[in-house]
Amino acid sequence: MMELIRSGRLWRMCVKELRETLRDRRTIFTLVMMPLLVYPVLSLALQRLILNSVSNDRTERILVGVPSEMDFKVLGQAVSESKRRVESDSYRSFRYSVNESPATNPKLPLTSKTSSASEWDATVIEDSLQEALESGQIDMAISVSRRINSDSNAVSGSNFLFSVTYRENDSRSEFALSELRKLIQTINEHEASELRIAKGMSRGAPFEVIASAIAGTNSIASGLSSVIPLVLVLMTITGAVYPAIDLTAGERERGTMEALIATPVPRFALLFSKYIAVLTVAILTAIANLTAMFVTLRFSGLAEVLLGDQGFSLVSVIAVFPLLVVFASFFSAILLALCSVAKSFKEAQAYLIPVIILAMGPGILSLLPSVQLTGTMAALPLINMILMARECLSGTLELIPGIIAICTTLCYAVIAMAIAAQLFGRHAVPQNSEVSWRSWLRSPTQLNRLPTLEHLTIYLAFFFPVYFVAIHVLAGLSGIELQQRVWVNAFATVLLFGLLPLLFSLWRKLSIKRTFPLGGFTKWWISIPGLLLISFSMWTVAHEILVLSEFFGIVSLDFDKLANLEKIKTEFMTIPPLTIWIAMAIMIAMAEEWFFRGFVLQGMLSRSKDSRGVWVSILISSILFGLFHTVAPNLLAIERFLPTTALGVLIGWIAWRTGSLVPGMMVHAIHNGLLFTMPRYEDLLHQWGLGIENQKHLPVSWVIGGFLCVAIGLLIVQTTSKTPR
Amino acid sequence: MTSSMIVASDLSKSFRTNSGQINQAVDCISFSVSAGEVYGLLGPNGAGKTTTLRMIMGLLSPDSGFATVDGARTDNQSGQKNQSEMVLSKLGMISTNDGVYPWLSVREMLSYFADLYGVPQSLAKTRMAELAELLDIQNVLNQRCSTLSTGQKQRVTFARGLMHDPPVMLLDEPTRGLDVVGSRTVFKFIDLLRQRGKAILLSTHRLDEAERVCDRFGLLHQGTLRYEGTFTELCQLTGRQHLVEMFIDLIDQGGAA
Repeated sequence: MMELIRSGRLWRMCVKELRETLRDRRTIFTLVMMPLLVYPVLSLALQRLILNSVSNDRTERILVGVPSEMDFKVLGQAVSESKRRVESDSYRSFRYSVNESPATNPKLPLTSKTSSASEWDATVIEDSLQEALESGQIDMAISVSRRINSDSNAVSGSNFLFSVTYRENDSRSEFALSELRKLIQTINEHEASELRIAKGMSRGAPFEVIASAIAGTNSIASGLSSVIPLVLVLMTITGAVYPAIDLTAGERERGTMEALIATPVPRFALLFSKYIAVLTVAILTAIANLTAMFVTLRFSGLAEVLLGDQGFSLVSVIAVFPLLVVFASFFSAILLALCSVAKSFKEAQAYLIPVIILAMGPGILSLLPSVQLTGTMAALPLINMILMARECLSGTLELIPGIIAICTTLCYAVIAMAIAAQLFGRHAVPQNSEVSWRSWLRSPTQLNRLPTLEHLTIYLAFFFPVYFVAIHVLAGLSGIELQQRVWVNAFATVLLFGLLPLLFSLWRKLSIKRTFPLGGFTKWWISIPGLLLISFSMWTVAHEILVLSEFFGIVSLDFDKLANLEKIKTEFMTIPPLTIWIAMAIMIAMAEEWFFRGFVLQGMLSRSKDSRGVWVSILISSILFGLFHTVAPNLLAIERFLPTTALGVLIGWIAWRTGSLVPGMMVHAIHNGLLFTMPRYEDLLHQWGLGIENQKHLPVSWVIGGFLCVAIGLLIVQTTSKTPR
Repeated sequence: MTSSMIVASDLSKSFRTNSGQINQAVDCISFSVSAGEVYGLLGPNGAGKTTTLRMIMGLLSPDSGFATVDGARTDNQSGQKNQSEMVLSKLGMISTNDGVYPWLSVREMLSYFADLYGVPQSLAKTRMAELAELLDIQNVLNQRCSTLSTGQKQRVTFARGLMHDPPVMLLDEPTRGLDVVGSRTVFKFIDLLRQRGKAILLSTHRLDEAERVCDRFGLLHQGTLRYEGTFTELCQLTGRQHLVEMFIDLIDQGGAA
């Protein structure tokens, strides 16, 4: 593969695939014609829909909630005052004609300035004004306050401030606000001109409006704004479908597949060049669709309606584009995997149609405004990308769920490509009916002794989303008691880090003994003093690195955490020490060692030829160990990365030297146990001059002592163990 | 005789049909082909010719037995990654089922395959010119493959299979669908390849042409090799003077069995 890349052959292979696809009229059709047709039609339909909903709103009353009788009176006066003035002004009255239908001006249904046909209906709601607004019982809440005019030139008179609360992105609520503003403006303008005419004097505007928004939940427009990402995503899929079929099943149907796989090029390279071609077409489709959508929405005036005041800016288009690329890389892989099984165009289409219909399901689910990009949602394929695109367009995207969504989607892309690589080319030879989807699931016949890099990649791609969802499910268990939660957490960790890699290894016929080496007690028991020394002093190293990384600004983004820390600490005091040692130290240490120092590290170690290779393997497994520890519900605990990685290196080295996972499990368990039981002995520690909760450096003597102990421990392990081959 | 370039040793392969029955496609076939020799693998449809060729290619793994090309096993039992690539680069495969890329020009397609076989671009150019002249496809080099006639497509396929100048050629029904003139061109070309010292395994049902061009024959029926040898040997074995007669006998026997 490397040779192919270096000689530029892989590049030329990709170019050939792309050339073949782009010369095909059918590709060009989906690429160019579809966007040109779809968006104008779609925008017409949307316009119709919005128009209906808005004109329905208009015939209804504007429901206002006020906190007291006084507010009610002032508002009533303002409304009648505005009506009186409009009626008395013959020049203006035609503009405010009650009968003018909004449908005569269909282009800008919301920005029309011609209507004051609305009826005002105010209710006094004394204490639950906010709830009434949130639940949609009223369109806006108004409280009126009187102000004293400080302008000495001003004519005395009432001066009122209308404090309005409304629901953002809610067409009804926003309409009500704009109506109020118009009403106030009318009064103000008339007042000013009357004064000018009568006395040649001026005074400040008698009424003023200050608006504050709460998040809207129930709105047609915000629901429709999800349509945009959904359409974009579906169109991107559409663009990739044809090339995916053509370059796999189509190749087989034309009879070029057999000649292709008879060439001395790894099948994965062939598949990869096809993947790049499909991905490129998908990205081109995304660009074409984005452009068409941008132009259509801009010029039809729909953008403001769908996406609020900021409209459909070029910036948001540029922000959505990378998302579509990530999504395209995921779906192209899925399509290739599916089409690699098909023997003909027809068969491929038969496979794809249900998948695309299935894809519509989560797509439509994501139209619901209540579905947000948090927690598990961020890990669900397809839906996470649509939600992310939606939040990107509305400017409410948060960093962490965004990163999670992208990472998981890329993981799924890797899985799909791994499956495609297994299936691609197998069907090139007809009548070989033994090969099917089942063949991929079947265990290999050759014995792979230790996990290879491919195994690791595929496993991690599958495991990371599972782990992520599990963490969120566990975090959702806040209802149950802390102690039970600790146990659930322990068993889940054993399941995730222990059982799953074991099952995978059994399925792939890996050598369990060598992947998860537990024996060799006779070889490492003399290292126990060194191991114990490390176990009991390692926390100083971890703590110092934590403080250092916080010093360098590597802090997690969660600000509530510090406040919670004290609470958690006192809660932890209630857990019996035995529970802590078993559930939080031993079980977790065993499971994590099993996975990180066993499944991840052993295969890499066996393939490293020299000591540099060994260190690279240990470092990679430790970085992975560190990265997994930064994933926490809805936040990235970045500050955990460096200390955990450092511990990973220490324990990884121990596992390598001793050739067993057990010493590492021991060290890990004692370390964890110490960390979790330390708060109990806070008073004692304070006597010793230690205040770990302060996020400060330990006393110098402790640092030196701790580091020295670790070093001596390592030296003992070094001298008591044989250098592995 | 020089060393054998292709060796099939006790090759067997069975398929499970959709109804679950086991169909023994190839049953313990052994033969060998030397450099500069054309070996005709003859048999009626469904005799197991294509399956045999595919096993020699390494595209199908045999249930038992093995095949070697220039001394190297094609079924990749040794587990060495490079070995199968080495074997594949020595093989040229041309089949009736082979298609062309409709949207590429002949030149693009040929240079693509040359590239896949790792032929340097300058060498690929000279070889393409040479093959285009031999196969009379100079005029269509810049045409899209979709515009070619059946005969032209077949000749382009030949060129594709020879772009890396393999010492071993596997030809699976290269004349199916061609008219008399087209077949004649193909067999002339096979003759030329033999002169160049290539080991050629030819599966065909054009018995008259095969009789002229092949050095040795293997008569395949229902997955087993019934007769093997030169034409004179076959005549002695069967007591017939023409391949066609031997063939009809074979089918009759098979029907009776």
